Amino acid sequence: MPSPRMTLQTQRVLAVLLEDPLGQHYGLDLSRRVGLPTGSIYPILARLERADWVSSRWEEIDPNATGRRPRRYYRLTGAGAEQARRVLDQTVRSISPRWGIGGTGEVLA
Amino acid sequence: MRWGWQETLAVAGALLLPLLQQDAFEWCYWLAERLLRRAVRRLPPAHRRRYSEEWLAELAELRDRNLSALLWALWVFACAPSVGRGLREEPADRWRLLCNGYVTGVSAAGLGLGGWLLAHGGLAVTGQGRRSFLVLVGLAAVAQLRPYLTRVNTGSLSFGSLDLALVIGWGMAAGAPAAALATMLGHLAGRRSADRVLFNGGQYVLCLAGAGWVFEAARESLPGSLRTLAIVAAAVAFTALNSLLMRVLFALQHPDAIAQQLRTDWTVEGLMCVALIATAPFVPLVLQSRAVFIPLLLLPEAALLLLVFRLCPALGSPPARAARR
Repeated sequence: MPSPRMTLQTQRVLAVLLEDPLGQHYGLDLSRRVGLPTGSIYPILARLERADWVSSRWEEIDPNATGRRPRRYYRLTGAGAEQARRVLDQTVRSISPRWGIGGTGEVLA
Repeated sequence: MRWGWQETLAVAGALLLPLLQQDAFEWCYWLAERLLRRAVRRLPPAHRRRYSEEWLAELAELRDRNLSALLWALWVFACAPSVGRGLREEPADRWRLLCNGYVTGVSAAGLGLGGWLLAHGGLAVTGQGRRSFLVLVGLAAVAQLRPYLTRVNTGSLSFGSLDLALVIGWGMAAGAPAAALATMLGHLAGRRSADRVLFNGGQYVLCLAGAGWVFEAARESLPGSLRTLAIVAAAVAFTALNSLLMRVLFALQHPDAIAQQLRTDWTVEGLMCVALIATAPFVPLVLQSRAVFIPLLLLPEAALLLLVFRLCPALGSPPARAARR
């Protein structure tokens, strides 16, 4: 499975998911926490889910009893959490030395 | 008092406006639902039902904020094609392809030019300046190794003044390949991957050959008393070319962060250039085959290193802090 394109917004989503890797997050809640414009979270979640970094499932509620539709919950998979940690760590390490003369080797992914 | 059409209009407005207002907000929610259904149609058929349920559930959470619901639905509608692309079989990542193409291009162009320069004179340095040349090449390689040996997070600041002195002192044909070889040796000893080593080598040849060309052109056009300015021009060209090659790579790797990076890094880039320019008075001394003066070349950049990483760490890596946030 190809790795998702790692934009800064994707990394912010991963960082929020990593804060509570076992928690259940739904789109609207995630976009509020990440601080992204509402709506733009879904393309990111779709790419992450397609790459198997994130899995999703329906909330198990009775719509008639609760009076609302079930939400779609997202969480990091085991491999996704590991990859997310690696990517975020790599970003922090790779961005810092990039301005040095001859330092481009640090920037290459 | 005479009852006219204006009074009638005022009373009708006072009665109808709250109703219209309430209706308008109801219409916002109705419109949001319609927009979501439209947005779902922009997705691959296999995923429509799932996203329809998901988005309608989230829209319901905004039920008491109709205007917000409409704005949210507009965003979802605008982003739906992007969701669709994420769900379909994506073609090979365009940015990654561009990035790989760029790395290959710079490596090939730089190393090709380096080979050509070597074939036309190259490292055949003889005579009085040979010892200084070899000392500078050795120091340049060690400077590249320093980050790996010390493990201090000072970036890859590698004393570009040594490389610049090689080009200025011994010409583009000898200096650019020698400095590139030194940097490649340093990175190889630091167990860098082959693509990084090749890119660094190519990058070094390109920016040092450019600096050497600028130096020669400036020296020929300037009167004798101003020839030191040719070194300044070469330092500016070296910093600018090196910066450009790195920024393009960074832009391809992090397309959404390049603007922030450019904004925050110009201070450090400027300081780097000033440090290189500050070596200008020492270069002629080294060129007179007095290797004892070589440490003077290191002083400005050593001062910069101290300033950035010891006295003013805030200058160090602003985007890295942003990435941690």
